[in-house]
Amino acid sequence: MKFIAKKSEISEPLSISSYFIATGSTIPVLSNILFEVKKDIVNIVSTDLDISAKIKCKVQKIEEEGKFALNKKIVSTIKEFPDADIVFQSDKNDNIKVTCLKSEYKFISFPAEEFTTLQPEDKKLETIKLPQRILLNILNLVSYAALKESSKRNLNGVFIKFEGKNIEVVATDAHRLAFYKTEIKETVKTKFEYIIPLKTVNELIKIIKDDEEKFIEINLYDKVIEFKTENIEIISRIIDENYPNYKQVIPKDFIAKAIINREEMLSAVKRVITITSEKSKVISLKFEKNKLFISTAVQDEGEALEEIDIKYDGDSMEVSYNAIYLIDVLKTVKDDEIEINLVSSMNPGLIKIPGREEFIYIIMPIRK
Amino acid sequence: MTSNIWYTFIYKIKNDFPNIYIWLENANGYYDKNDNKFIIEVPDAFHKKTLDEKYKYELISILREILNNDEFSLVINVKPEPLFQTKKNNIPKITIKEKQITLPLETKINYIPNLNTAFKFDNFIVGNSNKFTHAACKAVAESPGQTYNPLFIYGGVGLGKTHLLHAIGNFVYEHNPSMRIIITTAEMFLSEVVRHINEKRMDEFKEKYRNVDLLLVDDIQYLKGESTTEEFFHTFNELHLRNKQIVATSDSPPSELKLEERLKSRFSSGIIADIQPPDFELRVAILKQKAKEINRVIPDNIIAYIAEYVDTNVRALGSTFKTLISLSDLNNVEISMELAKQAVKMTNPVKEFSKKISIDMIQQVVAEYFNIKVQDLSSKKRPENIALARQFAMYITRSLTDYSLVQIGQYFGGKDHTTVMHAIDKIEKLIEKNENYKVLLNELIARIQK
Repeated sequence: MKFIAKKSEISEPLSISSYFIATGSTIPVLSNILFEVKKDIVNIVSTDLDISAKIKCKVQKIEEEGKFALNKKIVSTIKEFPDADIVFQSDKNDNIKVTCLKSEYKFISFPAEEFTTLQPEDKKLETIKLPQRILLNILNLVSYAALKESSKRNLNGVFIKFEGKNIEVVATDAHRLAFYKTEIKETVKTKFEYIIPLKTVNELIKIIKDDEEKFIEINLYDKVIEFKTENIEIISRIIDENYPNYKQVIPKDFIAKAIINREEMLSAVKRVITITSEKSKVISLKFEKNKLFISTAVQDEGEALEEIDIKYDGDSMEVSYNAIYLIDVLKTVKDDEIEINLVSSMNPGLIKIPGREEFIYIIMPIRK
Repeated sequence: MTSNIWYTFIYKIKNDFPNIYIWLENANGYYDKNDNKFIIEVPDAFHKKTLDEKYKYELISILREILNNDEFSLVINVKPEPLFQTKKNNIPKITIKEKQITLPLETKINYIPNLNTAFKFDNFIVGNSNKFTHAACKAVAESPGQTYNPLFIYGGVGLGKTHLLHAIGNFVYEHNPSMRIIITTAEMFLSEVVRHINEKRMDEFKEKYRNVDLLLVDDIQYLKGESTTEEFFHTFNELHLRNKQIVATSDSPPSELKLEERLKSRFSSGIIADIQPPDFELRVAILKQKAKEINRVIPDNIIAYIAEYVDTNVRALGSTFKTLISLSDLNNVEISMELAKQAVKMTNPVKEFSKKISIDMIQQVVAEYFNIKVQDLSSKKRPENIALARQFAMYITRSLTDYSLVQIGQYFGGKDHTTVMHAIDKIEKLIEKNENYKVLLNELIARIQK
């Protein structure tokens, strides 16, 4: 095996592949990266058996084909190399010599045959092709609301439903819920519902480009889901559980509605949060005629009060929220204005874009 | 700096070791650089004792990580009473109880049972050996929770326990799709309990299992583990109390199960039905049904042959049948006796061999060898050569066939089973002592097997 790659060609694919390596796995081979050196391409494969990635990497020159697995240390080594040609070459013991200008490193390779990765099932149920920008937008709009811990497995991911031309995505940690619905050009034949693990979603967000022209292919299987872009293929297990009935918790009737400038509110909340207590991050929103007061007070420490002009003509009302939940949504949506719908200080609040229904964010208040 | 370490420490404890945190809630701590000591001050001696005796090791390992220091010592002190209460402490602390309200999310529980639709009452063939169990299952399926509750089915492998269990499920599901049915195995039940405990979702599990209308549990003998058995016990009680049907299968009767007494007695409180291995008529009926299912005509004598030789269980019968069909299909030949013999041999090698040897044949060969009449073997005559021949014949029968001691005694002129035991014992000693007898025995066996 021998190939020559420029640092710029191989360094980035390698650091992407390192996201997918198992940390603290009991299977030693999984802390390795598999290199498949083919006639005209080098495939870099890594997995933690819940998710696996294959990155296709074009290199300067391939002299001899081969297959080997190296410890993930290679990623950091290559990163520190000077910007020059790097030569990968196997010796007679199948160990790999990596040279770059005057640096010469030798890696003991792991037998490639022992490297296992996640395989899709035989029967592919459906394929959907989307511009990467659409998928990125979908995931960005909801993923932050998913439960970060795996304590409730079915919430530790993003729910996605394909039905006809519609895609619906939901994420919730039971304190807030983000919902987004959009239409795509393609039609799926049957209805599909998946819970994609949060880890997979986060890696996807890192990888896919905010680009209308570049496409991503989504292959649906029974227990796994595959994402294919031009140069990366990701296979992920899905969370094989039922998702909660989210439609049931979306409130329908409100008694008051406020229209607020998003950026003004975001910067005010960001200032107020600096004063809140480390533990609860609780802030109060007090709605009065065309005015919103955002405040917090921590005993023995201090107080904050911000005033914003808004559009509101309901009765005066005060609600407390976790400031982080507000910042999350305010920085994610990109529109100029948001709309907050309220019932009382004890009922869920609903945030959306004025006049539009595709995005809904439900936030649960804090009882004082 | 000191307090920073303390906060990092207490934060970690709070998140990862809530059991230790309760002992440290009112404590304070700091790191004394000069003495290389980490001092934790607790409000009273009881806290100190508990922390010292129970959790010191864990505390040290956590601190080691935070301090990045392997050499320090951990000291737990009782906080000295302050001489004067500072003014600040006299002001009663007002704590506002803030509570994050949670979304009332409900996860739909799937009650669509994982039933094998191939197992129905229609294709369960009833004979003497399973008549009662079949009737009990049918009654349960027709009015779940009303008649026999709980229903406990036991029997050996491959006799149709799982078939009946699924048949009940299928019947109920067909006639009343709104019924909440769970069909599971003890092993699946166990792994479900473990998973829900790990994910701290036991309430969901309880909700799922305690709201079913029909609970079908296969292979209950594999139920084990304290929390699993306990969970099952409570589920059982709850369902039984509300007249919800429970059906369990096992390889042995409840009294012989390795389960807690209270569970055994609960299983025994309903109907216990057993399934015996199928008799010859039932085996023939099953084979005929199987032939009918695939629209094949198989001569009666071949069916009788298979039914005679494959007498262990229905599953073995099925596999012999399938082998026969595929032998015929793959080789493109008609089903014949030859083919049936081959199929029996392939699927039940030992069985087929031992059955072919009849007692008559053994008696004939032995009598011939010892130059006596066959009848002499069954007589009460006791000259040495006849007695020896008889004992050899008994020994060979015992080792080559499946007949019981009593049966062998019957065949040899109604002798007692102790006589047979004595014969076997004697021959064993003979062949051990004398090489010639061993040669004789082998010669006899070789002749019989020919």
